[in-house]
Amino acid sequence: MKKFKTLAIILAGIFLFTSMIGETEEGDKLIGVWEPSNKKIYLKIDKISGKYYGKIVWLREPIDPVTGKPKTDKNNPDESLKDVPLKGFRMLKDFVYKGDGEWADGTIYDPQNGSTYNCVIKLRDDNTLDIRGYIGLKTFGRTDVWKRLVNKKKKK
Amino acid sequence: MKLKTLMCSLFLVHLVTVAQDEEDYSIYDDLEYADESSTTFVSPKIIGLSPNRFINVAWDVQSPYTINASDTLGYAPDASWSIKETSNVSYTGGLRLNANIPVISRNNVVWQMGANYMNTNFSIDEADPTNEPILSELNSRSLNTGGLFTTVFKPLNDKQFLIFQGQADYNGNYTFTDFHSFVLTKYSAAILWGKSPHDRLQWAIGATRTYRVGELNYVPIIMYNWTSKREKWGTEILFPARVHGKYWMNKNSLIMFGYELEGGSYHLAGLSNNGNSFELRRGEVRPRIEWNRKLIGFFWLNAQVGARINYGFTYDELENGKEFFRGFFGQQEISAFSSLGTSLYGLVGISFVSL
Amino acid sequence: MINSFLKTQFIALLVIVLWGCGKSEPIQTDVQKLETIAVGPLFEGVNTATVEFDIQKLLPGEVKKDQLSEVRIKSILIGLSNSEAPVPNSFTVLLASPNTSMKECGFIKEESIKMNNYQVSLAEEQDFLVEILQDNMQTLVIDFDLKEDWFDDLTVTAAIDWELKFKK
Repeated sequence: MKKFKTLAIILAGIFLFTSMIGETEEGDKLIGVWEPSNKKIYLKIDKISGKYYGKIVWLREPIDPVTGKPKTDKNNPDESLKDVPLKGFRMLKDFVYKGDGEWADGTIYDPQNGSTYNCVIKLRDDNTLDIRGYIGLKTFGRTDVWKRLVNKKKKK
Repeated sequence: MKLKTLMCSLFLVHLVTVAQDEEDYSIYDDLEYADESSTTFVSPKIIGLSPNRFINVAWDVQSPYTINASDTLGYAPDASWSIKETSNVSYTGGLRLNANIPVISRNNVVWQMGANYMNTNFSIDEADPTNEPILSELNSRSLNTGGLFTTVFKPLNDKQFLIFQGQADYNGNYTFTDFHSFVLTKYSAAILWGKSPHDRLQWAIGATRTYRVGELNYVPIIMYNWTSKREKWGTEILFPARVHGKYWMNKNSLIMFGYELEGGSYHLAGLSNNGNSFELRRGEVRPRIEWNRKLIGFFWLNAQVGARINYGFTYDELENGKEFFRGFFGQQEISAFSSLGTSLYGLVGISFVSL
Repeated sequence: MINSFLKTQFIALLVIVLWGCGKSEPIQTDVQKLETIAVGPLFEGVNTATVEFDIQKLLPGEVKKDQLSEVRIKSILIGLSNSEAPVPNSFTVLLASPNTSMKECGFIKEESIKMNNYQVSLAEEQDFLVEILQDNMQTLVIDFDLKEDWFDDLTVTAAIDWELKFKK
């Protein structure tokens, strides 16, 4: 009886652990490099302390035509951060995997106007994301389609 | 012990997977689509566009002016009509509500539905029903506009787009307990085709069926929204309805200067007889300066000061409520004329916006 | 009688007000030194180093992090231990915690780096720090833009000088 109990506890433990791993792997499908539909930037999404964050890693036009220098976050509401380089800027923050291919509780920042919007991300398929930025209610928002980018040469 | 080993190995496998993924995303210049590219569609917005108002509550008020009205008569050239009624208007103003809610908002189509309500109260000093029937009618019941509208922005590719707007307005001096026939609803529409060559410019041409200057008209329209390289100056033009220059003082403060045409065709219940609709064709030009200022979050204040210049304040009698098209050159009978002195006006509103 | 009642009321109100406005007291702490390894290979472009910490360990025993009432960062000095590693174009320093939003604390410009000055230009707005430090744990995130590939690990250090105040 005691042996059965121990076995049951071990099996339950393994089940719990593997299901947690499964959940993590599902959530980690968001990790990677993505391109918004306007094709102006690449964003790399990584995981930090259990939440998902996305930073700009590539800009199609990295130089500001007015200053002739690399683009910075000139619209940041905090005046002291207006010179933070856009390359590396974290546009997506604090996403938590909710299951069923959806990440929520996060925000998306629009460097074009310095506004931060609520955001929800849905995995349409392994290589396509529906990203909806909104204000308060999801009704007041807009959905964009992002595509996954990979380094095929390196994979070979 | 075995369980511990299993757990450790599972954890290590996971770490290795992450490390391998990390390596794949390192050289960003050589990246390719995992399956296929998404289609790029032109955005409905350009950089530096004034805030898009989802919900707006505003109050409009005009300074006193003089109003004249002719006797009700058949068509006559403007010069020949004689003044029958005249008075000072000590107060003109009212509430304006506007809601514009996205129904579908994706990168390949944006469809918005909206509703607006606008109320204009007149306080006319001399408004005796016997001697001044028209002024009395205006004085006793406020003019209301209740409208439903829809806008569809359909990008055709990464540069070109179509815009369709449709609107149904229920205008008149009705009260909420005394509505007039919905047959008198005025329908407007506009269609535009345009291009956005870059992030700071969009232009379009099209045509509209409109009651903007009072009576029904069909006119060509031109849209030209532009923002300068430094994102300070620009234009927001939907000619002839409104033409504005703009200057962003900073990211939270925008000054706009220009004009807007405003108006509609209103059913006046007290002067309508025998199933005919006595309609006020009201059109005005509002040259103005507008200040938009961020209050908090996505709430913005908008304040306008300018002049209200009369464009048209005439009266038509629609037989059995049936609308007709006079155009700019038509000779159909006009039932009566009014002239309004120019007044100053101010408007203050609060909006829930998207930038 | 009424006077005495009013007096009592007034004193009670005063006690409540003073209790509510309890003065914040400064906490003397050492400069916090954090170190992390950005595991190589690190490729040209934006890379990230993160380090988790618990601010409680920096506080004197009698102060709990929940009692923190005012927090500012006086300075952050970043260091790279591998002298042969390529010099990054820029650094951005952020703080995150499980139950708050990640925030930018500051950045180092290319011009400063060129002058061997790895002092972070700090954000003016730092009100978010209290909430982050009161959370279970904190994560310091350092994003740096490498000029060229570096096929080894890179040790990144951060020395944070905090200005902390707490309410008893």
